[in-house]
Amino acid sequence: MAGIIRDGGAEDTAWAARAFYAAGSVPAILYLGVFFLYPLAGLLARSLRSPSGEWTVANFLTLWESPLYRQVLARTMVDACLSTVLALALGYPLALFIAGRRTRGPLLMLILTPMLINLTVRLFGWMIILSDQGPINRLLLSLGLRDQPLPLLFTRTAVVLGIAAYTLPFVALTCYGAIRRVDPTLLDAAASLGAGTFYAFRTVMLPLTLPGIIGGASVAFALGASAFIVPLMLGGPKDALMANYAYSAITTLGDWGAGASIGTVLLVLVLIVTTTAGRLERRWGVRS
Amino acid sequence: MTNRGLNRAAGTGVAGRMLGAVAATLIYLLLLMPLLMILPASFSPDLDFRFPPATWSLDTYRALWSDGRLLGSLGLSLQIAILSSLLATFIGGAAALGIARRAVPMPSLWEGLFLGPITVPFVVTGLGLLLLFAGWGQWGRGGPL
Repeated sequence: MAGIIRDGGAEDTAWAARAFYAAGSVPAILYLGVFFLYPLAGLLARSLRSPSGEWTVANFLTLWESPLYRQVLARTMVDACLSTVLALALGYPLALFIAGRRTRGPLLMLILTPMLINLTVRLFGWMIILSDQGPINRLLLSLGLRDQPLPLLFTRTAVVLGIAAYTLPFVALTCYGAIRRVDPTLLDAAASLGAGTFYAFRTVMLPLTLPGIIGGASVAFALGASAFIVPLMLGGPKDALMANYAYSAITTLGDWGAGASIGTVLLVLVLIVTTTAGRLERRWGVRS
Repeated sequence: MTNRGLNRAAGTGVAGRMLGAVAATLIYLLLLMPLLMILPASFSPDLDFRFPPATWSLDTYRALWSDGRLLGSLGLSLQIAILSSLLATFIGGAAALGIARRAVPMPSLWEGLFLGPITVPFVVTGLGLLLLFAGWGQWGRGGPL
């Protein structure tokens, strides 16, 4: 805005409105700076410092040389990928099913219901489901498929399943958005040209919803890789993931260097995956 | 708007649609079963994870009302929920206006930064805040409130 014309009341009001809106943004920007950006920068800086305060990459070298840490890193990536694949394999068909129904509203509400309830509470439910006395094991025992309860709770399987159940609503909703954006007449057109159900799905629906699939997978991976409560409640001591190690390094061992550097590695991995997915999404989004 | 195309993609004929409905029901069960487990468990006095509960009682609810610490944490949860949602709504809403009206410099940069806490792992944000508050000497205390 170049200058304020004294006679021009409209110009004055526009400038005043802009100033008003800009001033309104200041508290949130300050809050973000003080309680998000500054602590984040502090943690990143801490990962590059020795206990005495000198700048060093020793924390990362120590991590890399530790077989335990490399195992945890690999386990986190594998568990995040497995749960992402599982959430997509369940979430996409579910979204497709809902999009084709007339009762979309209630069906979507049912997906949102678990998201409104605290994750800790939901995980208690999972602990009951997977326990030795839970419905799965009681069914297995009563059908005579096993004579001992199948150990499910406090296993890596439980962690992957729990993360997938946690990310499933996010994936299903992202896929649903992409599916709803597809013009249904395109599928009619494909059918009228002789495409069978599967052929039409593979050549029309799947490519057009690919950006949604990538977006859903990216969210699922980011949430899965940084999972903290799920391995804590459903996993055994050997199933802990990076977030758990970062936390316990600091709160039980007081090792800020290790905790900060594990946190930094986790952050960088998540950012690489989400920005790459964002790029792919945009590229395929434009092509469609 | 026709659903025929979508239905065709979801499955052919009666058999395909039945299969789709069964699969969707199973996936919904996976989503909702943990919630269905919690309610009966709250009426069980036993400490083990058993479904359905072996015995039924209102013991846990009585304990909730008589345990001062539980009531205290319920109060604290409500206090934090009300204060944080009021704060977030007011300052977040005001900033959204500023960004949407392009009144702040570099609106798209701020939009991205405000989405940051969603992408950044909670543990990373949490440890950063712990580092900050430890420096302020507020670790483990009630904070300035």
